[in-house]
This record gives sequence, C-alpha cells and structure tokens, in this order.
Amino acid sequence: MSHPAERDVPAIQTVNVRRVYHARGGRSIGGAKAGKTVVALDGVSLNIARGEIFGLLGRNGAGKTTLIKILTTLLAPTSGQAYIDGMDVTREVTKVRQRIAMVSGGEQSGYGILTVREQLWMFAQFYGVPSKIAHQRIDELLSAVGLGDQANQKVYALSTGMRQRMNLCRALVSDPEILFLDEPTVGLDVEASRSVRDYVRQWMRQDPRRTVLLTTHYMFEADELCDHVAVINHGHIVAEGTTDDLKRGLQEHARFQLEMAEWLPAFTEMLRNRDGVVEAQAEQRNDRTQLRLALLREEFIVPTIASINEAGGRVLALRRIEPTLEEAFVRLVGDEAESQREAEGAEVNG
Amino acid sequence: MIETTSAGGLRERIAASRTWQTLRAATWLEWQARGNWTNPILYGIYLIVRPMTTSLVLVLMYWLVSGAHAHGGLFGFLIAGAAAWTFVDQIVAGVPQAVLADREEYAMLKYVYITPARFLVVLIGRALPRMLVAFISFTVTLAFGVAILGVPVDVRMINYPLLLLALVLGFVGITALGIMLAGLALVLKRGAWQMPQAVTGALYLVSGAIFPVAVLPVWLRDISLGVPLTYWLELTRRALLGSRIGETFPIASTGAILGWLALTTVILSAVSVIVFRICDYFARERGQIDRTTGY
Ligand SMILES: Nc1ncnc2c1ncn2[C@@H]1O[C@H](COP(=O)(O)OP(=O)(O)OP(=O)(O)O)[C@@H](O)[C@H]1O
Ligand SMILES: [Mg+2]
Repeated sequence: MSHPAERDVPAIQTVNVRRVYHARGGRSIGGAKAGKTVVALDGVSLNIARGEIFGLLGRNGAGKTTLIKILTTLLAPTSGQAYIDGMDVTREVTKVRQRIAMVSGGEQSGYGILTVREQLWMFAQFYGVPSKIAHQRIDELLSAVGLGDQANQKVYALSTGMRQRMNLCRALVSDPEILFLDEPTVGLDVEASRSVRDYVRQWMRQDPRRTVLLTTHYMFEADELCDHVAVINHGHIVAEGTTDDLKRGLQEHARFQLEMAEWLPAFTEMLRNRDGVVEAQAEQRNDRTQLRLALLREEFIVPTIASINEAGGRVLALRRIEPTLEEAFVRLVGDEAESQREAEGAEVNG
Repeated sequence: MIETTSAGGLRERIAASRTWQTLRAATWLEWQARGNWTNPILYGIYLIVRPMTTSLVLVLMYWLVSGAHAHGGLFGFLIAGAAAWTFVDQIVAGVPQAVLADREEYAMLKYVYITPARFLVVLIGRALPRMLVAFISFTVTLAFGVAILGVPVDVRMINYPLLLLALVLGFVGITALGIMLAGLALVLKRGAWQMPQAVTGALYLVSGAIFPVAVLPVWLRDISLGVPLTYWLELTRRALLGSRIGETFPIASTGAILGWLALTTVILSAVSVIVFRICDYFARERGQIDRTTGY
C-alpha cells in the first residue's frame, strides 16, 4: 500500500482486450473451426483511476458483462491484457482476487439453505477475514442496507430485492478495493435501488482507494453515480469521459430557451444576423413568445440578451438546454435497427 | 528490508489462515447442505435405510443366482464391498454434483471461484462431511450384515490399524477422483450431471466391489489393477474378514497390496490435480464457470 508508484497505477486497466466466443458446436480440436463465433469485445482499452465510480454503458449484448468477467478472473481474454492495480488478471490471479468483489443483478443467487449471516460469514472465511471482524462487518453492512432484521433468516425466504442487497453485502464483507457491479439495481423497486445506490456512494466516501466499475441500463443511475462513463457498442468503446463531457460532446452549439414578452417578428431576423448566433426561432405561445437560440459559444448569450433589450424586447426567463445522458447515449449507439444490422455483420461465420 | 520480510511473513500467515478458514467454511457448508437438519430423524432414517436396502438387493440377487451356495463368507465379501462403496458414491459422484449444483442451482460458483480461496481446498472441504456420512453408512451396513446375514466379522478380530490405513488412503484416492471428475464436469458440454454416476458405475464393475477381480477377463483385470479402489476394497475386506477372504485376489501379500494402494493413490492424486488444473484452465477459457444453461 505504501509503494509510492502505486498511486499512479490505474485501479483497472485494459489494453486492447478482445474476446471471441465460440458458439455451440464451435471449435473442433484440430483447429478447424465450425459454427459461429461472436466477437464480444473487440480491442477494449480503458483506464480507470482509483477513487472513481466508473460507468460502463451499452445496449444488450454490447460486451459489458464479458468485460467484467475478464476483469474478475472468471473468463480469459482471447487476446490483450487486463490489470487490476497493475496486476495481470490472467497471471496474478490470487493477488487480483484478494482485491476485487462482484455483484451481478437479475439473478437468484445464494445458498438457500443458509441464513443471511451464515452466507456472509462463509464468504468472509474464503477471504481469510477473522470471524470476529467478519461478524462485526456483517452487522454493519446488513443494517446499512436495511437488512438488519433479516440476518438470521434463511436465504431462500428473501425477496429478490433483499437477496440483491444481501449480495451487495456479500461482496463488501471482504473489504474489497475494487468492486464490480453488473446491473446492480435491475429488478429492484424504487426504494431498494435507491438504497443500493446510496450505500455504494457512502461506501466510496469511506475510503479514497476504493473504485467501482458499474454497468447499468438506467441512464439516470449512471448520471447520478458515475464520475466517468464509457459507452461500449458491439465490443468497441465509442465514447468516454465525464457524463457532462458526453452530453456536451453531442452539442456543437450552446442552446438556450427564452421566454419573451413584447416580441416583434423583426427581432428574429435581427438576431440571426448577429455575430455568434447560429440559429434563432421564435414561436408564439398565448401571450408569450418562446425563443430558441443556438449560439456558437455560451458567452454570446450576454450580448445577445442585451441587444434584445435594446430593441425593446423583454426576457422573462432563460434556460440553458442540456441534452440528457440518455440522448447522448442514443446518439452514440445509434438506433436499434441499425445496430442489429451491424451486430449481424460482426458475427463471423468461419 | 526488515519491513519487506515482515510484510511477506504476514501475507503468508494470512494465506495459511485463509486455507484453514476455507477448508472449515467449505466443510461447514457441505455439512449444512448434506442433511435436512430441520428434520434430523428423517435424515437419520435415510442414512441407515439406504445402505441397508442397497446391500439387501445385492444379497437377494446372489441368493437367486447361486442358490444353495450362498453362505456367510460370500456375504462377507459382498457386504464389505457394498459398505465401502458408499464412500465412492458419496464423494466420487457427490463432489462433482455439489460443484454443478453450485453453478446451476445456487448460481454461486462464480462468486466462490473469484475469491482468493483455493478451489481445490473448497472441494476437499466439501468431501469431508460426505466422508462422515459415508462412514456412518459403512458402519450401519456392516452391522446389518453381521446381525442379519451372519457375515463373519468378529469385532475383536478386526485388523484396526490396517482398516484405518486403508480408509485413510482410500479417502485420499476417492477425493482425488472426486476432484478430477468435478473438473471434468465443469467443462463437459453435455451430460455433466450424469457423468460422475457413469464413471462410478464403471468403477463398480472393475474394482471388485461385487465380484472378485479374478473373474474379470484379463484385459479388464489389468485395468482393475491400475485403480487404487481395487486395492482399497481388498485391504478393507482383509482388515474386516481376515486374509482368507482374499484367496482369489491376484496378489497374495497384504503388504504388497498396501504398497500398490499407496503407489496408485499417489499417481492418481497427481493426475487428478493436473487434470483439474487443465479443466479449470479450459473452463475459464470458454466461460463455463458461470454457465447456468441446463443440460
Ligand atoms: N457464453 C457465451 N457464449 C457465446 N456467446 C456469448 C456468451 N456470453 C456472451 N456471448 C455473446 O457476447 C456478446 C456480449 O455479451 P455480454 O453478456 O457481454 O453483453 P452485455 O453488454 O453484458 O449485455 P446485457 O446488457 O444484455 O447484459 C453477446 O453477443 C452475447 O451473445
Ligand atoms: Mg450483461
């Protein structure tokens, strides 16, 4: 922990990771190939810094789970390298495993025969956590996610949402540094998902070395939780940055919406001729006029408003129009039908 | 320098403690999974009745086939074999099925797999309670044979040191087999659930569990003498019934049999670990650790 260089090492790093699946009836032993192969990841390179909640966004089948499986030592990459804390996931498996934990949503996993506490204790044992510390942690974790009363209940009797929260505790009982959450809130009700999100945030605040890699189909969740996101499409990273970067990346121009009083049609023409104004559109709404402006840069809004005032117009309200993450996402990954065609193109028949 | 050494020492201590904790936790898990502990009486009956019915069926079959020739000595051979075989059933067939259940029923294999716990240790832990269950069945079956069928076991004449040695070596070999099949079950695309039963079925015929190795065709006998289970069964019989029972066995000397048992057990264990590692490699390569699709 005290090694000075360690601070510069990304928590998670992938270099040109590629993963090809051979579907049923796939590879025959002589090297001759039969059946379909699917390229799930096609040269993924990512750097995720310590202390970040990093979101991986992508449609069904984009390759998110595949990447998480590779990073959690469940699956070998076909080529390329992946590192956790600078350690190779295929060569330094045990060291990697000491640092990571994973939760996948949307599955009914758990030893039904055990109680919640027993199950968590067992996992703590697999990590070498002394029993006493384990029980202390279990109490803290369960009450933090609102499962305090279920500690001694059998796992089979838990609802989906309870099971999912137990699974989060299971991942955290070993005090991992790097946590992988694959759609952690899928199938949870509003309150349960919020409690998961809140707890993840709280957990991150407790220690600056912690890192989360999260996948989700809920854009608001990514927007709310993530410092950085990457969008993956057909095994390619197609965009990466902060959520604001992604939204802004969409927008060539700064867009504003203004509520106007005392509007004259001539104003529109005047605005269009001003420097820095790319587009101006006015629309009459009852006694008001709604004006939409596209400016070359944000700063042009001040002189533009001044000129409207000078001409005798009156601005009642001003709002910057931000694209949502969802819009950004849809723009990046294209529409479903188009993507379907591409997906078919990506599957190689060998 | 001193700091590095002490940190390394600490890491080793943690690793050693983790191995022990893993063994304990896996044993405990299997112990919970083994019995329906909410209904211990029912489980107790199951533990006792099942081996008894198995041996009864065998004895009846022999009776029908050999008629008047059925006698205590022959029953001794049969009952000892059937009693000992519960170890194979419990572990060689049971451990792979426990792994498959982890993957497909509980969807937990992947989570166990990505812990730093060594998977081999987890499997050994899961074999231990099964050994206890098998030991209970073993004892019950023998007692039943002695009391009802007149099997000539004299409790005072049992060669206990030999029995213990046979059981310990047998347990090592049987666990090694269970681990190997668990590895194979992970990578099999079809029939993973049936494979362990099929293998134990074949071993049942080959290793002299119900009829003497001597009656096998020569080529099968050669296979038989490569399997530690053959020596293990023979030694268990000799320890329980005296060496006269082994008159038909191709090797006369008990010491030589013990030597063969030790040798084949060591070889089997090494092969098992290698096969398991290879399967583990392929399972990771192909993404089979968390495959939950049915077979
Ligand atoms: N075991 C497998 N065998 C063959 N193909 C697979 C296997 N697992 C995944 N794939 C394929 O790899 C691609 C990526 O799958 P992956 O599960 O990584 O997607 P994902 O982004 O997690 O999707 P989702 O949002 O639906 O969970 C898909 O085309 C999928 O069909
Ligand atoms: Mg997925």
